[in-house]
Amino acid sequence: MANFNISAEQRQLVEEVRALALRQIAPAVGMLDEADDGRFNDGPFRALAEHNLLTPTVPQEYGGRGLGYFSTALALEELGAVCAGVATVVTANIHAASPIILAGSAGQRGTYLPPLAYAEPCLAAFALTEPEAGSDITSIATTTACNKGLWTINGVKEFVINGGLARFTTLFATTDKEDKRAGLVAFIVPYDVQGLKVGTVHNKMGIRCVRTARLILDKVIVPDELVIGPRGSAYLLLMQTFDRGRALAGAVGVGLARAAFEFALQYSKHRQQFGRPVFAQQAVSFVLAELAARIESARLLVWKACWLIDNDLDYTMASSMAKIAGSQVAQEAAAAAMDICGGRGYLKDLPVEKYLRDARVLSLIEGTNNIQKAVIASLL
Amino acid sequence: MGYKSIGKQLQLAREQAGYSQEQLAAKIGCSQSTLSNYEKGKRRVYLAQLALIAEILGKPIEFFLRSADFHTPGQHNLPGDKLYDLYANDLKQKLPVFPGTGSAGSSEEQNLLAAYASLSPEGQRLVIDFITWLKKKEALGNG
Repeated sequence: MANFNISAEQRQLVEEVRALALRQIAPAVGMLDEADDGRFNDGPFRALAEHNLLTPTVPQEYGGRGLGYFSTALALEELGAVCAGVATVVTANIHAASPIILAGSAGQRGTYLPPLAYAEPCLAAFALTEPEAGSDITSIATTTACNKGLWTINGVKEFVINGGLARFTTLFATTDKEDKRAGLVAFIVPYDVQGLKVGTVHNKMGIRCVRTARLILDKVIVPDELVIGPRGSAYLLLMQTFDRGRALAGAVGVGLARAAFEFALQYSKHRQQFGRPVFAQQAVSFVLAELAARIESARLLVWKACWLIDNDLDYTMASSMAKIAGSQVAQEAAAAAMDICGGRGYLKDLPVEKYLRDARVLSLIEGTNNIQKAVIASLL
Repeated sequence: MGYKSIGKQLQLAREQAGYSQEQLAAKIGCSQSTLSNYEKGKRRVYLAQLALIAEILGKPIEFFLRSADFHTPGQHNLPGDKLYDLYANDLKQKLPVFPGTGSAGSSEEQNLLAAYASLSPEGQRLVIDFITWLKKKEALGNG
């Protein structure tokens, strides 16, 4: 970890994702952001799938790129710099695949992981949050019961990224609301199962290219073969999935922060006021200097957390720190960029207002930043 | 965040199985301090590690996920461990006559039961767990 150089292979990956993002995703970002008719544009995800980057953590034996978390974070920073929404869809796919990679049976892995690596885009979803259960996941009310090897699931899942578009949803339900942790069960729910309905598709302030929907499970029946992990393990599986995903959410924030910073830097060097570039004002250059330091520190936290994950070391605290740092610096950079660009930054002519709208959600998703602080505090 | 409770159950299971932290840590391939942090809830135990611990200690994973005071209807919190109830009931039958009520039994037994009666409910549970484990071990001829 003391070596801060990324490998030649990782450098190549960064260049590949940067080129892909700039050529095939960036031109569509404005259109994706403006769309408000509920239709989903899969263009960016088609491009990512063609490069096998839609779920880059799928192991090579299942057709994936088998990227570690460090490499995945590098890729997500590049995507986050072009569109945090597109990057968020990739993190959702990684989230959905994670429990299967960690604890899925050979059959589950063989069936559900290869499509995530196909050249045709395949989206997956991760359903946990409910109308009355957000940060407190032990209060989830989606119930399940097993009878002769068949599990019946009833409940409502909220804010499901890729909801209604996913080929399968990794979903958590409880056998007993009193048995808060041991009662949780993790399922793979295929998209075409009877009783699975898509409810409200949410209209959002930011990451507008991300389909976020409510899922309604009305007597959904899945066989025992679609339960992930050994009995009683779902809580641990869930926590571990969070711990891994949070570092990647931090990477998306770092990418967005970098984009906002680079835009503001260029703008400040061209924008003339009082006969000189605004960058010549310390009030501006110091803000950018501080941002440069904050972005770098957030990036290093993301790298550290991902390195710990890849080396199977204790990554819980580092991952929560990375998530806080990445999401905070994204908001700071976007807000600073708007200040530096002045009134023009508020207009849709520039990307700055989108950075600000997209950045806001990063401290809310993947566990709010206050939850990250609670995680860190519990380990102090 | 739930991991303190998991840690307590881990400690209980380890003590029931008669392992020191050093011994169990060596078996699962981690340091004693890591295991100590698992038990204190200062470090999250991940699924693969807990599955290994569960296998070594002969407990289902649910055992670690349930807090000590969790009871499913009609079932003790150590599923399938009927011996626990047997010894718990046996002790409860003896307890009301101690200490100093002139019941039968050696003074050593009286002292032991008096000491048991003075423990907290959690401490009493640990004693019963230990007796259950010891009886099982003796029954298998490994005592």
